[in-house]
Amino acid sequence: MSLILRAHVAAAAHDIVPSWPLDSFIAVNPLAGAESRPFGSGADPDVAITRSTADFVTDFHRGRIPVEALERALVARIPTLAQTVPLGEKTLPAATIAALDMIEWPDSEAGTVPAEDTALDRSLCIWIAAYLNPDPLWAMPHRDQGFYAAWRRLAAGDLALPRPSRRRIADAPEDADAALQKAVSAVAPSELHNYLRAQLAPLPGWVAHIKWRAEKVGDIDLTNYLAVRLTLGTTLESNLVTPVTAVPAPVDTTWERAGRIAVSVTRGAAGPEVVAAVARVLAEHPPAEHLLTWQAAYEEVYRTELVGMLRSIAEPTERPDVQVVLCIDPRSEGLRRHLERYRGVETLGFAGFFGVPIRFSRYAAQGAMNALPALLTPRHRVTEHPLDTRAAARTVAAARRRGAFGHALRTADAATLSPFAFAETAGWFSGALTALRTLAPSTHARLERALSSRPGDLPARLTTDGSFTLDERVSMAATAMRVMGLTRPAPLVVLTGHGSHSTNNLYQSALDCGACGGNPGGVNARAAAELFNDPEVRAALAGNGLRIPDDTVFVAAEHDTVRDTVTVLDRHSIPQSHLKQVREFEELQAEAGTRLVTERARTLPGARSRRAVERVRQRADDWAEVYPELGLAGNAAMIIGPRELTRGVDLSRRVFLHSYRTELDPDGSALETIMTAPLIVAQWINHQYYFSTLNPGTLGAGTKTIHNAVGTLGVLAGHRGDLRRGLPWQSVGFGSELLHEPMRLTVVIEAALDRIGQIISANQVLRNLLDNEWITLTARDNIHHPWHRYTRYGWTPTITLTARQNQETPV
Amino acid sequence: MDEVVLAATIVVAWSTTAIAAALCWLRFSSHITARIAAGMTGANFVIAVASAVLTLATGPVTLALGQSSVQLDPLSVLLSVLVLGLSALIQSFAVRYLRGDRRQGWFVVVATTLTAATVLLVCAASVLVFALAWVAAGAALIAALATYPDLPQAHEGIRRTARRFALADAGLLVGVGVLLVAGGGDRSLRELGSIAASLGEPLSLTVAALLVIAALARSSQLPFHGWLPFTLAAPTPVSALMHAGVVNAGAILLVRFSPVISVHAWLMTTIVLLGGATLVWASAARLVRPDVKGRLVYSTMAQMGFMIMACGLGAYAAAIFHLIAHSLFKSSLFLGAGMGVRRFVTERDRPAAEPVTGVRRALALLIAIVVPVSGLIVAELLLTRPIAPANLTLLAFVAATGVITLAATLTGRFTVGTLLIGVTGILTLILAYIAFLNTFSAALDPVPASASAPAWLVAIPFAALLTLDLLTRTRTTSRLRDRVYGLALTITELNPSLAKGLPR
Repeated sequence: MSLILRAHVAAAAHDIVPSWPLDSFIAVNPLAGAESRPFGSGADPDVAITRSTADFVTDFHRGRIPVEALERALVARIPTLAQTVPLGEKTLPAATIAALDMIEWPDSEAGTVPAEDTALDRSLCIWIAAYLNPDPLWAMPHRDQGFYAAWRRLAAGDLALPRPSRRRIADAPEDADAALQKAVSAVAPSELHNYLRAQLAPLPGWVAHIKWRAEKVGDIDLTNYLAVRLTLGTTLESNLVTPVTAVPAPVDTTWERAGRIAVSVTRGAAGPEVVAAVARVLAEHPPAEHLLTWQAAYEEVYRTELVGMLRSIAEPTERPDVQVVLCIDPRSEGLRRHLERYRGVETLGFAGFFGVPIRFSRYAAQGAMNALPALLTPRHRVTEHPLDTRAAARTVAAARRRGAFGHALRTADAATLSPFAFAETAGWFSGALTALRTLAPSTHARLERALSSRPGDLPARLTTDGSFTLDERVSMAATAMRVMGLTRPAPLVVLTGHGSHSTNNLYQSALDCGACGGNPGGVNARAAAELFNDPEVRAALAGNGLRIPDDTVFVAAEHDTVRDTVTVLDRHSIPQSHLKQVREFEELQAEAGTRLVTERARTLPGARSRRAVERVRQRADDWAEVYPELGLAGNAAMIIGPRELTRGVDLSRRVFLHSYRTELDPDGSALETIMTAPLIVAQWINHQYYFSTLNPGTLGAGTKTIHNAVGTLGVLAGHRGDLRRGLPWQSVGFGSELLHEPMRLTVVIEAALDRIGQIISANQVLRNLLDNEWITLTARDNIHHPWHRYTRYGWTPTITLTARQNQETPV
Repeated sequence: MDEVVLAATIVVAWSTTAIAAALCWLRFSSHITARIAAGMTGANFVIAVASAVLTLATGPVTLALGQSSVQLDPLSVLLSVLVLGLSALIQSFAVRYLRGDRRQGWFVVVATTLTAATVLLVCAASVLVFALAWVAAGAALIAALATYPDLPQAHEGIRRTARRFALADAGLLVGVGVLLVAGGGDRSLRELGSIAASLGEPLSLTVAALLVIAALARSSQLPFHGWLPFTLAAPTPVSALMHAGVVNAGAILLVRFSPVISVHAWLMTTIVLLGGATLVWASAARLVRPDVKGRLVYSTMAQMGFMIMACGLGAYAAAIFHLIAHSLFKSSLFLGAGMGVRRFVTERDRPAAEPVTGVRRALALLIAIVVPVSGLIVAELLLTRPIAPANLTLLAFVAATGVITLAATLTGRFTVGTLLIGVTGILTLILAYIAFLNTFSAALDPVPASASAPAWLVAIPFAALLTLDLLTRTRTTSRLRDRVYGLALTITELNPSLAKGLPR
């Protein structure tokens, strides 16, 4: 029977989105469970899915949303509004009337009251946190028996509970499945699903983490969680679920509004038929739909502008001197734009793991990281072989020695008897270091770097050829080349992963490369470079028709997105012939990086000053800085197509750019790969930012200033409570302004429309996202064809505003 | 000259507050206000350092205003340098940390008020000035907890703190009132002994007890400890300031009012027992907390227990030494509370330690026990004159730290390199510690306690901690261990209604 109950639990937890821990932060759509339903339908009234009407009306009056865009959005959403309506002597389009309704009489929104946690929730939080604590000073006794079993043994002796409660816990079944069975025995089978869902609804942060952990680690699962929750609940005789306050049904004001509009339109001469006609129009577009229409109009303005900026020029024919392949991350857009100012530089966009999914550990390291997209499972372990083994042995010994001293200091602080005298001794040193660190962060960082030499800093080769067979390597290289359209490799190809260096930042992993599992992408770049430089692989590729010229050398690099510097990795593997070119590239990137920092300093909070470049770069080492960089704030669109579409266009670092050429993809497999993987990652990131901006208290993590880390699992806000999900306020807003504009992802693809349609039909996730309007898609076959928008019913032509003409031209 | 410097220290602190408040009221940019306040506090720090140099050269200085007075004696000089230095650092940190926060202005005003009140507290030379500064510091702390007034957890923190502070400070004011009446107005802290003697036994005891209660509540000791763990709903710089500057005021009160309090030996014993009990209880709670700031909070509580215990034993210099070093330590840890992920990543890339087993491990442990203990004994015999029993018993903790640190080093890696560095390091640190502590005590030269608790009482919390340590390590099933673990975990959240089993 326990299998059936577990199945019920799994079904009840179906809509819960697993949340990754802090050390490998993956952006997920917190409402992913609702993707199979239209965007905004059946939404929890406490969750804001768009900005408020007041904000939109302000934008309207500012001119950000022209009334034509509003009317077009109305017609797009409700096609019956395309007709015209006779009002007495005048005839107005129905859309205009509906637009008037939205602008003149915005709805008032009721404030939401934050739910108070119950004693049960508080107690549960303590037990879960203690059980999952990754570096406990006192390991939970009986932890190896599972969450429910450990809790039961400890709670039965918990003197903080009254005796009858303790007795009831001691009498509870020993096994989690049995306890859950007993707890739900009073629930009718038809109600079981809803009951379990209601039990999983409070503490969404912990529940999401447990769901992730059940799949990836396995030491806790939702059955154990529910068993503890229900047993503790019956023991405390408390309400197991916070009662939901019924939302009062909104008063129907259609006639009232219709009357006012009729009066304003006919200038006082409004008869009852006119009011009735207006009311009929308003009934088509009830107040519940207003916010979604505003959002659609808001996004359409951006989309039209974006599509209007795209170019249609033929590609240059000469071979570039250097090609730089960067991640699709919007931050790369800025660097690509600044690099391309130099002749002979071509840039491409490709997923940051460069098609090489690995589990990587540094030389002699005790731990490993998953350097691959979150949805994949690593099957190959890769490590490093230092070139100088004697130096390596010396470095490892030194690192071990330093590790022993570090361990001693940590033990002195963590043991029971020693912290008192330890504080008396260590306090003086830490006081001096704090002063240095706060007043002169760069000096402190230089000191730290000088004192710590790590085995990972030695020149080393990756062991890719040991972990992957030749066929696997050839296949990875071939896929990469085909997907990014790399057919004319330049003499120097720089594969640039990206990472972010910040200090005292619990969300540092959120700023690293999401395609590499929330880690810096330098390792994957190194692996890919080794792959492409391997003569065996090149020979096999040539056999498959993908020729890499003999004078082409692949070099790995890493882009630090806080400092905007590109550091070349594995210099030892660069042949003599290409050293000069690499040095030239390094000079190029230094200039481009400086210009990019100056550009970023204009929007980075508090960065406008003299010596802005130096100050912004210093933020990487400043432990007090809560805005080291803006990350992906502002992300709004994804463009899949050749660089000619966007070359030279200032996209303000808001767009994911993936290279793609239809002519190099005869069977559409590359496009399918792009649409089913990088596009989904971009969508997750976009929705993570979207909902964290609109719901900082519930779907976002709130302000960083009160964050309290539970190891590397996650953060609490304050001294207790639920684990926080999503991004902190400092990633999406500054003070009370928004740094991120909440807009759903606009996808733009240059590829055959029917091929795109086939891919979408074949993929459930894409169908859901597009049909239910979670993202939008605009596409064209090639530069000679007009742009079309994807709708549930087929492709419709879009309105394009070209910058030169600046008038509406239906294309 | 010295009086000018003394006046300047206090006046500049209060002017910083006034200017910050005025700028905020005028809706000036909070970022610039924060920078101005941090700069002024930094300047005030320089003045305090100058005053330290001056008093070293010329001796203590007092400035009287009618019957009330402020002073610069070694204690006030040391503590004002500490408070102003830490406040300047934390405010400089907060300039960037609270960037854009709409409550940044509030923080600046509160932080400067707290600093000014604490400076006045440590420089106070007369009873009324001390009492007023004490209450002002408490009020500023509660205002600091209200930095994010919309958070329900902030409400809880404010409620708990306000209740305890109100009770304790009311008692303090009653006790101070009695002293003022008996002394015929505001009298210098040096004359307290004679005033207390004139009060008669029961009244003198009551006054002393009220003062002790105020000190215990401020330093979050049993039974008034239930406010500190609930203060994390304010930004990190507030926690840093609080743990570094406010909670240690209890020891300052006990030292300044020692002529009144230390007359009653069994009151001192009570202080030692309560301090020791908090030490053990908070250490247990710290071991089971999973969140980084929660651990820091209970660590502070335990450290304050140690400090209060030292006061009860009459070891005032040791208590102040501990106070200063702990303030520096704890504020650094709070400011760096976000380093967990980076530390995890760095640790992951480090080579694993090779386990030290068998004979080498036994040898390592032997060296780890013998070297620090003998080094401590030798240093104490060479450097300390005279040797007080209270200081000796507290040195048991120093010995424990030395043993544990060296043991952790040598059982992590037992090679010539670590042995050499470890042993010389520990011996140097022990020697430096003893020398520094002695110099410090000589410079501070506090008024000795009239009576103090018997020194052997320290053995009780020491033994309890040792038992706790053994409980955490035991691998066999033990009901005692389970009970202690469960209690440590849940009692810190103990809600009266939870105990009754009712929903809240």
